[in-house]
Amino acid sequence: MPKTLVTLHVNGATYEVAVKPQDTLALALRDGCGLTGTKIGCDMGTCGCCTVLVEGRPVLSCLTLALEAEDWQIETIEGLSGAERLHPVQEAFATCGGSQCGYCTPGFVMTSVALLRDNAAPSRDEIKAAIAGNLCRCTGYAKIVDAVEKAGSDMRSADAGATPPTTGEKDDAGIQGRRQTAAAGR
Amino acid sequence: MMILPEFELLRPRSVDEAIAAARGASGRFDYLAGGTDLLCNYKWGINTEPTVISLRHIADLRGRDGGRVGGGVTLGELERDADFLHDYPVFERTLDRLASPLIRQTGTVAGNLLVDTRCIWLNQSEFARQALGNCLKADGPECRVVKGSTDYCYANYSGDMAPVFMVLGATITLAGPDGQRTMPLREFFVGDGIERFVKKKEEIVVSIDIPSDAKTLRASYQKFRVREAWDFPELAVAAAARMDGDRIAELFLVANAVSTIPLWLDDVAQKHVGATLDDASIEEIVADVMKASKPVRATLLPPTYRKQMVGVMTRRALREIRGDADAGAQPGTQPGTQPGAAA
Ligand SMILES: Cc1cc2nc3c(=O)[nH]c(=O)nc-3n(C[C@H](O)[C@H](O)[C@H](O)COP(=O)(O)OP(=O)(O)OC[C@H]3O[C@@H](n4cnc5c(N)ncnc54)[C@H](O)[C@@H]3O)c2cc1C
Ligand code: SF4
Ligand code: FES
Ligand code: FES
Repeated sequence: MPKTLVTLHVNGATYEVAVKPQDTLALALRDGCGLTGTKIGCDMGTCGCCTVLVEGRPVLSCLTLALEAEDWQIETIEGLSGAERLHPVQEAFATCGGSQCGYCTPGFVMTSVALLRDNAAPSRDEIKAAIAGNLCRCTGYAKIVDAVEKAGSDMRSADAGATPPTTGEKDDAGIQGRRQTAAAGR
Repeated sequence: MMILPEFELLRPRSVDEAIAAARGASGRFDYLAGGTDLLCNYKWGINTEPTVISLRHIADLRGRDGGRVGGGVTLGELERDADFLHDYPVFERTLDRLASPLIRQTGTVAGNLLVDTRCIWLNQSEFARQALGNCLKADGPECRVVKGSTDYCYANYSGDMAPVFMVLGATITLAGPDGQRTMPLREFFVGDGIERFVKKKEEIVVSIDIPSDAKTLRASYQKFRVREAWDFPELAVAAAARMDGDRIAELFLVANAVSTIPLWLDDVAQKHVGATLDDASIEEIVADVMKASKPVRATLLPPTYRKQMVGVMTRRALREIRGDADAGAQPGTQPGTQPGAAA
């Protein structure tokens, strides 16, 4: 089947990508747009690694066809903050140890960002319910729940104009740097 | 990475356009909604077609009005619909336990009703299936679950919405080349794991309609699954009743995920109309529902255990309908997840 040009609106930018009808959005984002922060794990809807936001809601890009995504507003992990800073959710994953190998992290971060936009102060049970479709083989989840809780609290403090409590200051710069890279999903 | 096979993708904007596209494909097509079932099966190489017709861009399939739910409404939209959940509270827990929030985000109501039957033999990679030898449902000579069956597939119906819609008395409306038709949802499901329903291939599920008197039914859906975060049902029981004082005036029962279709247990339900919902009567219904459920080894857990758990789930459903505070409560880790530990 010949390739077709599709216009994808990702992170506020417009990408023209040549795709086959059967290409998934995950593939188009990674290979077409070069946005490799979105990961492909199971490719079958079971792990949540490929989660991106479509119109603000978390969607599995491995079970979405790229051609279907024309005209949608898509956000990926790369669009959460500029290249120089971390989004508070990424920051919290790094400082709480919510990311180890990091492969699942972009998916968790995107799901968590969507949750916190809807519900600024979710309970731990609400966090667990929201991340039920994201799998992590490293952390054991407790630190991920800690991270989402902390991110919510930091974002509320920032909204109220207060300085968020800082954590992880004792980390040496190298470790902090590596964690940030993992949390950014790049 | 799982590779999707090559196909042509059509994106009609209306039901009529979609049906015309389907007729043009001479039977070699599949409709696509949220894609959370179909694309998985395609990635597994199960019964793929050269043309895929997306229903995602058809506004007429969207929206809810009272008890009328458009086929294209997503499960996520429904679980955020406070008015709908207020009118039909049984859906709150049904949806909460259906797949994962990420699947519910795009998975649709129609896609859920038509979700393909599942089987431990079939739902594997093409490589594994070929190594084991293809079965009846994938153009092989015979069923692997029930050896010797050359004309009947025993794959398990695994959708969670249909049994609940059925006990609430919902109807389904289909649009096809010959116009629209509406039928009770309980008459929609027929046949084996390949045939599954009366829908003709070109027909599109336009809507599901729950009658307004269903608002006064007391209903419960009790699902048993291996994994708590998300999982398909290993078995489930849907029940709804209208009480007249302490007596059952009307009773509707479905045993789900123990057969190729959701089992509409009318005989069992009718037999117990007029009974009270005391413990002894509940046990009689439990025994009858268990007797009517004949699971086979198409899922992870052994059939004898699943049959036993049908009894447990029936009891919980009826106790919830009776109003027992903790009847339907299913803690994080379910009792009896291990065979032999049923309670
Ligand atoms: C990880 C995972 C877990 C899951 N867990 C569960 C679970 O616990 N319970 C459960 O019930 N399901 C579960 N599912 C199955 C399924 O994805 C959902 O039930 C979902 O609702 C399917 O809807 P869809 O819109 O994505 O369907 P699609 O995949 O788009 O379509 C499914 C079928 O319906 C047909 N179809 C869709 N819409 C129409 C229409 N309007 N008219 C005619 N035909 C149509 C398609 O042709 C196809 O045959 C799970 C899936 C995954 C991947
Ligand atoms: S029940 Fe039998 S025919 Fe049906 S999918 Fe399983 S092995 Fe194949
Ligand atoms: S890669 Fe999409 S859910 Fe696993
Ligand atoms: S950090 Fe390794 S899978 Fe989650």
